[in-house]
Amino acid sequence: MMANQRQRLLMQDALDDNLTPEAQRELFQHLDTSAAETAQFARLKQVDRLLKTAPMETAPEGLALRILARLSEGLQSQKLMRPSSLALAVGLALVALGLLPLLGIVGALIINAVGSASALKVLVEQIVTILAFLAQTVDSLIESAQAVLRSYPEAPIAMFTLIPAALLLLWRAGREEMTRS
Amino acid sequence: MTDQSGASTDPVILEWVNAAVEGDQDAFSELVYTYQESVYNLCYRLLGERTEAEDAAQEAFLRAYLNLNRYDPSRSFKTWLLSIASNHCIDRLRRRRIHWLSIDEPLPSLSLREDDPEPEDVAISREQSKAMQKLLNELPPDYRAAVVLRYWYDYSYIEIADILDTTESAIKSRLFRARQLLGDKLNPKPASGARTAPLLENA
Repeated sequence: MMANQRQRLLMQDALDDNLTPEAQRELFQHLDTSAAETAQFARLKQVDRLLKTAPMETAPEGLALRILARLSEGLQSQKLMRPSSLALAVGLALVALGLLPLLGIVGALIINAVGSASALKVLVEQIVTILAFLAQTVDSLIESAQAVLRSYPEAPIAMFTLIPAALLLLWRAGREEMTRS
Repeated sequence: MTDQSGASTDPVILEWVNAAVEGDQDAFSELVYTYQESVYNLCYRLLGERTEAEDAAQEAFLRAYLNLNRYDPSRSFKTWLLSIASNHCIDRLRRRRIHWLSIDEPLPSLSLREDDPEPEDVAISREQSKAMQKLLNELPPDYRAAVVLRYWYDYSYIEIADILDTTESAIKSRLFRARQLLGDKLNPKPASGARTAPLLENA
């Protein structure tokens, strides 16, 4: 038979040395009537004694030094991250600043276009002209690429080889720069 | 029980904490040297493996350093640090996905019998400590954390509940169940009707 809630609390308090003399009497009277719970309480006391005498495990030698080394390593990489984050933020701010006049012009054009049909016509014409120019540029670029391919069939292979090599060189240069700083 | 929790933080510790928050790494070094044993022991008792315990202890200190500005000085620094370590270890244990207490393999026997000398007079052998650790390793993470904080750090139920972010009654229940499970593993129940009263005579 398992201990009921009250007996369980009493046993717990007994293990924690929190039993009043009355509660202790109550517990022992109850235990006298139940061999199973007496055995259970004996097991709990045994565990309690073992745990109370279990030693603290000593830290391995040099642990503090390794913790501090790992910490400074982490801080170092954080410091290195900070300038690049700053550069990114400055770059984004500059791009946003550069786009501001463009956005202003586009906004003014739209406001004018909404107010007059002829201005809207001009705006649409301008957009179409720009798109046509872009299409023409892309078309001529493709033609030039085809011409190069015809003259030098090995060019695409060379390009595919050069791209990873260039990326590797850039990555190495970046790492050297970081180590130096 | 080999350590005292301490409800409030020593002014010197607080000074080191404040200096560390300001970026003084030497002050943080002092904190590391002061608490490395406590943190490592907690990690070892929870994880049961020395290499992993060391890694977890390192991680706990790093997390503490990065969150020093969140530390509430009205709370014990040690309690705060151990709560970081214990929660980190519990996360690691949960990731292991072991079926706790599902294995019936025999455990090494612990030789503490009622006729042994009193614990205060006994130098517990390393083997016995290892055997206790094997028993602990079989407990579910939450039970194990409650047992370790109670027995190795002498924390009250309320303090343990605070560290493990649960209620006092949950901690009471976990501790009782953990002691029961350890008791059953340590000393399998005798056949019904067996007399066990002599064990109690010294209780």
